[in-house]
Amino acid sequence: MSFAVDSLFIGILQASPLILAAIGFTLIYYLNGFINFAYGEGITFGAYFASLFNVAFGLSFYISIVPAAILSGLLSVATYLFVFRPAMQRGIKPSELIILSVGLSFVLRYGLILFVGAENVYLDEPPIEFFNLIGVGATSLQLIALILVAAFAFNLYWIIYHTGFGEKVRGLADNPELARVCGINPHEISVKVWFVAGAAAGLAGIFQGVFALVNPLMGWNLILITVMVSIIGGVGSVRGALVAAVVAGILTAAITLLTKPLYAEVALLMAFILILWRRGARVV
Amino acid sequence: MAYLIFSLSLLLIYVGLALALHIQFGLLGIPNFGVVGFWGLGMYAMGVFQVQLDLSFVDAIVLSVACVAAASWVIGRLVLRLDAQGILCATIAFSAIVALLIVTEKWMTMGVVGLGTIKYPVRIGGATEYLYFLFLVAVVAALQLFTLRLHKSTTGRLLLAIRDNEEVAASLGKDTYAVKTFWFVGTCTAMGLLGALSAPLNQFLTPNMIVPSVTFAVWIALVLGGKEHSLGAVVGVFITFGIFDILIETYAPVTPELAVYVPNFKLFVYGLLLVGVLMFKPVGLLDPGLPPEAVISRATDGVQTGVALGRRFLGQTAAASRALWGKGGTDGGGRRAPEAGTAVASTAETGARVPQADSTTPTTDPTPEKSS
Repeated sequence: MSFAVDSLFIGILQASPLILAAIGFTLIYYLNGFINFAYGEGITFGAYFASLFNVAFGLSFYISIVPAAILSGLLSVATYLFVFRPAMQRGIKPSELIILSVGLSFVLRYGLILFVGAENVYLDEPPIEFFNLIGVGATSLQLIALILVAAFAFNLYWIIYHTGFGEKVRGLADNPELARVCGINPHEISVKVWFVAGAAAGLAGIFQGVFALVNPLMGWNLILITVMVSIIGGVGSVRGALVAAVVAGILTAAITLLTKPLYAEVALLMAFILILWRRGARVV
Repeated sequence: MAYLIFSLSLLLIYVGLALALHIQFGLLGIPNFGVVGFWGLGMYAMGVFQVQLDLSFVDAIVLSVACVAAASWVIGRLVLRLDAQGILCATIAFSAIVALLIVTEKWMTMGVVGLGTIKYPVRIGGATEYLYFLFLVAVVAALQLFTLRLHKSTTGRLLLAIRDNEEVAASLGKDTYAVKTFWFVGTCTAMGLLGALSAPLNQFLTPNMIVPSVTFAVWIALVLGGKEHSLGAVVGVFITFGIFDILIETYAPVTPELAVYVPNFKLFVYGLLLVGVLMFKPVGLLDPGLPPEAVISRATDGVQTGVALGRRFLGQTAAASRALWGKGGTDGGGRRAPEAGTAVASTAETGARVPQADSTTPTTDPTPEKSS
């Protein structure tokens, strides 16, 4: 019993960055239909933007979240406007767009390393209080992160499934030509979606960074599991990504409690390949 | 010199990997993003068989290649019915599994401690590395010749047909899944063989060799060189690995403080190259329509022009530095002292090259005369 509760609780607490990253990643995949590896650099840059405000300018952690998320949203929009949109307009195939995104993520990651160095950076944590919930310890920071993630996720869910804007996004993703004929401006919608996705990546990076540490490879380390979670969740549905991220978090926690963390990763990766295989040709 | 031979051997390994990837992606359209997984599996299998089980070189090679063939058959079975994005994710996941298992299975791979020492097949004093290099040249040349022949064969056309439209190829009575499995396993096994062959080069294996950067370096080289051209792999690897890992790291006058930045700068430029190529010339430097003979004659022309330009440049710098040196020496006045100082410094920098230029100028006498 306590094993189940432990893994559930630890899984949900640890999954919050992953949930955010998976939602943002899914939005872009949903809209443009390709795996964007440069999204991982949005995670890294979010954490570094936060460290800029938090460590360099000395702002409080909670305040520095806001400008950091906005900046990483703008970064994401910039990658769309200057790289992916021109590439898509030239008719580059999805499999080549993926390679392009890998190249872009190299540019961003190693550009960052050349600029700030490869050392670990530590965010100034806000004062922490410990809580004891149903026999499991949790810090105030973890709970606040969880609440923020839940708020963000539910907001986004509401926007995608219950507003006119969300309807336009879904229309554009399902049938771009029809959407254009109906007077939806694909450019405007895309810029907004890439901004929201980038902000989600930034938030993911900030929380990942404050729980552990910030380094230039953190985004890369998170992107693989993010891609897996989004694809298992059934790409194209924010709902699915949400559920898959939570399940992956809980599974990782459960396997980690049973064995070593690295075996948990191996098991997840194997499960991922098997799920892809069972699904057959359709990935989307 | 020993380091240069090591770098050149590594360059050959990369050419081989890019050739195998060319067959997989350029001809057959399978986006394998797990190159490092197959290569690393071969390399570590070689290490385990040689060090832990004390097998001979040939036995270890055969067994490691068999391991990679088995693994790639299983992966091929699982992923080859998926679409491109599915294959891409699954192969990345495979390479991540290989990297993780190498860290966790300490009883076999020694984990982060590292596994060594892997011996060369034969040891003949100082000539060992050179002989092994020649052996690698033979292996990679065989792979290149095979690729060139494959392009002209009916099998090559079948692979292209499957890449372009699998349904049509299947409707013409071709068992496309079997063909894809066969060639996927074959090329992945070639990657494993190259891995096993690079184990003696590295001598000592550590898990941080099995990093995704290897996969991406091979991909970048292939995409840059021309993924659909039979010589794209060679050209791409020479441009990326040849320039950065051999010319710059071996010959460029880089201070130790700056040397720390070179690997990161290299990957940064790789990324820029990849983005630039895909945005402005997605087919790569070599168009698939260009016949290999034309590429070779262009490359030899290019190398000749490069050598001629280099000689002219060296000759001119030598002349300029001699002139400056002479001036600084004869003037000797306090008025020109700082300039004389810089002139001396610049001669000191190019000092290593000056004697070379002197010795080559007589042989290239006609060319500078004509141009000037």
